[in-house]
Amino acid sequence: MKFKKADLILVAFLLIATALSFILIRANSTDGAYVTVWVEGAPTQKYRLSKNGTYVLNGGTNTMVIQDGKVHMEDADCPDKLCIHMGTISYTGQAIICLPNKLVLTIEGVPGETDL
Amino acid sequence: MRGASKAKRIAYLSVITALAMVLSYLESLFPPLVAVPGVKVGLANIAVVFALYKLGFSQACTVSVLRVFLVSVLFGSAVSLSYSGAGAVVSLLGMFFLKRTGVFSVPAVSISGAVLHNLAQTAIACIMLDTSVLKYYIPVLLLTGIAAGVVIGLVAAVLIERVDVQWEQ
Repeated sequence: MKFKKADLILVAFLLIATALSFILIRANSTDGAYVTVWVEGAPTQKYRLSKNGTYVLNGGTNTMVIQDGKVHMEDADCPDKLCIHMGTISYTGQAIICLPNKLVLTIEGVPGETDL
Repeated sequence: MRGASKAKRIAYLSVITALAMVLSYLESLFPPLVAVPGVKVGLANIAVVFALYKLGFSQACTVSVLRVFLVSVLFGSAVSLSYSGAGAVVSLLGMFFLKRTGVFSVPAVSISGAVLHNLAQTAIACIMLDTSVLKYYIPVLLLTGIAAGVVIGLVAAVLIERVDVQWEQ
């Protein structure tokens, strides 16, 4: 099997697309002020990142922890536990997603913002 | 196998579909490599790429659609059916057109399949969750798609070269 010139062009194109999308997303992100909890596409609650705490979400399906301005999922009742493995988030635009429970956490706002 | 009887063709198609299902199941046993929804190696794509090159587009469709449907019914859910169904359809169409241009090798075709699969799946997830936050994962999905596509494509290329079956092209 031989590689062709078009293969290189395709891979180069995809790598450039990857780099561009990464730069675009990072350029638009800063430290956030609060985390919004979305259930089935609707925002249900907001929590300040400046206040540490453990919160049970969505009637007990997920448990979220806010610590030192960062958010992570502590527990979930879904089988894959992907949301727990997604780690901590703190920049605007970052999100933790739990597909089985249709739950999304997003970071928004700018530090110092007082309105929720 | 050229001009094989109908029974032989059905048997062959069934074996490849079964293989794709086993590969899907095998992959589900491993913990996720990257903690992002939709990121997978996509072992079953070996069978689909093989079918696309050896048996033709319509047979590859059969393998892919049956695989997604059966795996979702057996091990997944209606939700996983919509994600992987969209991924499978878009990915197969993309691979078909890239292959037809005749200027790409097997790994490149497989890369396009993997990347399109990831993007289509993410698009469906965005629609179902009614959110655009998944766009944050586009770079990760593109990069892992390229990596997975290369691996799958190289394996498929070896199989296409060595396995002595040819129905079309």
